Amino acid sequence: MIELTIDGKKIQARKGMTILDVARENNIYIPHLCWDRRLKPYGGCRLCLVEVEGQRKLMAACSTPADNGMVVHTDTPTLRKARKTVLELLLVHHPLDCPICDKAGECALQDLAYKYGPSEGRFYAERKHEPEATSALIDRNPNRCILCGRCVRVCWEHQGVGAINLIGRGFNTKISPAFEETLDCEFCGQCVDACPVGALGAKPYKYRARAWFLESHDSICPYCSVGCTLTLDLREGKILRVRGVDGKGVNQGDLCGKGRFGFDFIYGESRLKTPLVRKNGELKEVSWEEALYYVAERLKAVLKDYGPNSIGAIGSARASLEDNYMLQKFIREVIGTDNIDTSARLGYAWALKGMEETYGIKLNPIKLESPIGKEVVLVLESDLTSTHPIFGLKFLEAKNEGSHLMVVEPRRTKLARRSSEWLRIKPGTGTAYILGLINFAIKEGVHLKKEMEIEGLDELSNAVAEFTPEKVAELTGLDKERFIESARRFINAESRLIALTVGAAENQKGIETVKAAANLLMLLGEGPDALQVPADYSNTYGAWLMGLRPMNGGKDLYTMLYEPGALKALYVMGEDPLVTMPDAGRIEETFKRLELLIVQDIRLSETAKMADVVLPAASWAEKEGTFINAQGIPQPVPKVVSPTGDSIPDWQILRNIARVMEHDLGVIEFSALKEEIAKVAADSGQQRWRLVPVEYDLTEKPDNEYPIVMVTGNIMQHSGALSVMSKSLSHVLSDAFVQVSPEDAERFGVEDGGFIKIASRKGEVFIKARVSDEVPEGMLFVPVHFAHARVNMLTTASPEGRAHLTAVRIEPKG
Amino acid sequence: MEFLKEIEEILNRYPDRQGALLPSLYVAQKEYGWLSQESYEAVAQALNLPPATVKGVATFYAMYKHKPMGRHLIQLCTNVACMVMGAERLVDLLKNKYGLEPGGTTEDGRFSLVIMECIGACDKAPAMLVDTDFHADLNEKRIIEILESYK
Ligand code: SF4
Ligand code: SF4
Ligand code: SF4
Ligand code: FES
Repeated sequence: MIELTIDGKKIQARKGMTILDVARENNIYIPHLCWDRRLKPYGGCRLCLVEVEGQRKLMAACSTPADNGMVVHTDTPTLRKARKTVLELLLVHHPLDCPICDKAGECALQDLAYKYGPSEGRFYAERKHEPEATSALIDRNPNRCILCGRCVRVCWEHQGVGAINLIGRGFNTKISPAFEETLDCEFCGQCVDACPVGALGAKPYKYRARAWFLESHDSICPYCSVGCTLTLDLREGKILRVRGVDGKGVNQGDLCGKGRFGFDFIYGESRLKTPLVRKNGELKEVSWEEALYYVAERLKAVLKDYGPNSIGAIGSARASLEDNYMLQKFIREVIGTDNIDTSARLGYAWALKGMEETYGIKLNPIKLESPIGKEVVLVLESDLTSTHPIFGLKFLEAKNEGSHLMVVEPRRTKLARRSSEWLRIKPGTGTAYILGLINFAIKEGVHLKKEMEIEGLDELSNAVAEFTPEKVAELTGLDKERFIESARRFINAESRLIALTVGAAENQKGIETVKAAANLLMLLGEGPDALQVPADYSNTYGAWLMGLRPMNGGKDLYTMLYEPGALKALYVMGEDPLVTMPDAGRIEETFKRLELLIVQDIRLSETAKMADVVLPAASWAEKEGTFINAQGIPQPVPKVVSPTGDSIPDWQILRNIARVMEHDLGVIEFSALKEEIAKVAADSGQQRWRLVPVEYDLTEKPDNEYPIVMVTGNIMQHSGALSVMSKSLSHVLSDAFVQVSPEDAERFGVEDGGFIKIASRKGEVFIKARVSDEVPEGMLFVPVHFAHARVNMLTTASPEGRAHLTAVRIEPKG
Repeated sequence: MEFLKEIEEILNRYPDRQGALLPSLYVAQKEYGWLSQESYEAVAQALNLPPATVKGVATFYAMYKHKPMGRHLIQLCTNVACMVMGAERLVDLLKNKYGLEPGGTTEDGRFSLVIMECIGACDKAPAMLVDTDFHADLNEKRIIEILESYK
């Protein structure tokens, strides 16, 4: 601890803090423009100048370390004059077009000019850059730029992208991508929030409102399970933009593109406005009354003819706790069956099962800060900065702070590019890599040094004996020496972490991956905190806790969707299996065999198009609710806009159907529902470590006929089937595509941008090819979001929860 | 491949990739003649840095070749001391003799001329650099003699 005096006040501070840090912590105002909490001190704008007694020069508070005994003044006539001059110089070429600038009213430069004056100066010059017009989502007007460099540094230091920079020097410096090309970046919009002036803006918000007319509400992002706090700005009942506010929420103000720009899915054209019932083969608009009676009658008929276990339901990883809770209550109490599940079955459920079999725990929430300070951080075949962007940033931060970031991954993901060490393996062989590490660790006797006894060691060491460095090198395609070197580093580290996802949209990992990772960590004496596997979507975790899964021998998602005839009636709430789940052909067959398909959704999904009745639900922001994020934190999601058309909250629809079926669920009000949910106890299990043998086997091996491995997953700008409803996100990317390596493109005569046929043992689809060295030879990567591409006609599901890669062949569309 | 080898060597001397950027740009400049888009992209790829970072840093420094240049780069000082000692007459001379304007390149691509701020040789003004060679105490006769030795 040190002690210094600021403006006559004695203050205790920690060593290493800057004067500005200390002042901020003590609510002492020092103006600043180029400083950003997330970035290294820059000292570019000189507005934060302070007087330090005994120093002849004025010092920049943002980059001067606080020192013991320092006496600092933050507001003196000298400083006011200096700041006024700095502002005068900034205003030399600033266009002063505040009346037509969207930043007016919330612009740091405007506020400072107001505080220190003047708005006019002794010097005058004009910059005449053309405002940039062609880029999606990010509006760039270099004339307004004050060259503080925050956007540049946020984009590079914090986001690890580096899409823009200050190009040129002196007066002509311009904020721009390297070659003035159209922006081709992540479109996270972090640069927009960082810009203190109106040089960078969100295009969808351009000329939409004056800042002082906006009404703001905080909410939680509907996309991934990080659960970022979004600040929604509304005018006349419509959300116009989303901002991150520094220090707010689990994200502390950071946002990704989905959270920032994806909110407009609620205004999507495909939103359902009224209930629909199939009549003479066509879905027709009907009243709520008619729809409710229809559903009730048909459900009763199925109950009567086939009994409760012929009915099942699929809940939603994106609907609120309340909605999901009500669905399972309806299914269990009104229908009387345990046939209920969610998309978590395809991914996260296996992660949990894997952890239960090894560590004995039933829940393992992630910790966003977990990578920070670990000596070695291993990211296993997971594109975390795309699937969980703000969690992903923590891995970059950890590396910036000195962690060794090992990325074991076939794709050139952002983390691979920014890693300390990229081990480019063949797709689906991450598990083999870990088994190799286990074998190596046992051979080195690491576990002996830990003096631990864990049951199952002999079985495990037998099971991994074949994964010698030679074998791992052969399976993964890594160089043997490199493998050994990386194994040594991981095993000998003081502290370590493995992070991976087991996503519903992914097919290269499975329960065996999680078990392998857990075994390795247990051998090294690491508890479950060292294994970070985030849940997928905004409420995957919550839906799991609410019992959206068979708990009493009911049918799970695999049975309900992939065993045609297993059910007579299916209730699907807020999920589009035909688009987001593998083996769509089989699902379609199942749907055709149903007597009754009820779909409750915010839009006419592909699944809804096959339904007998479609019920319009109010969406995120149109109703109150709660999401539980991947850290297990429940966060309230308020209602800020009115529901679209006649839509009502999912839980109310279910309550109403129950009423019509003459079954009182005992819940009338939202508050009552919340009280009931508060009583649901989470069973997180007891730690009891066990080493378990892991089988490794690629389910579908490439062969001569199908020589390429196809990997599916989420991408940066899209997430499941929701984001494609967003106009803004579709502006960046709306076309389905498949990534093909340059080597395979050459070999199979594929052109960049051309259509190709992909054929698997299941079927074939046509899709646009993007030739890219992001994927290695022998691998395709295809995002699953786009309904029209139907790539999930090619894939298979794995009811054993294993990785389920698809072997395919490609050819140009003739 | 020479290019990548040289950059590799530079990388070994610096703690991180960003640190190796300035010397790598010199290597690229040698390879490509000037800092073209192609050269930025090559450096970006070799150092695993974004092209915007590479170009942003490069364009901050005036001493890189930001446009195509002749085989030899003349950097002539016209600051106070050199000006007093007749540097401006030398500028005129280059214009008449070679058709070489400040900031320009001769038609045959032999010379480019850049007017430089103080070279730090005021005691021997006027002074210039030709490529990396230093020449001082210039006069109209000497400058031509010197330049004629650069083909
Ligand atoms: S949107 Fe994100 S990635 Fe793109 S320039 Fe801005 S900060 Fe960089
Ligand atoms: S665009 Fe904004 S954030 Fe970027 S340098 Fe200019 S003023 Fe700063
Ligand atoms: S990281 Fe996840 S929760 Fe945060 S803004 Fe992005 S999608 Fe939303
Ligand atoms: S905030 Fe300190 S120099 Fe800009």
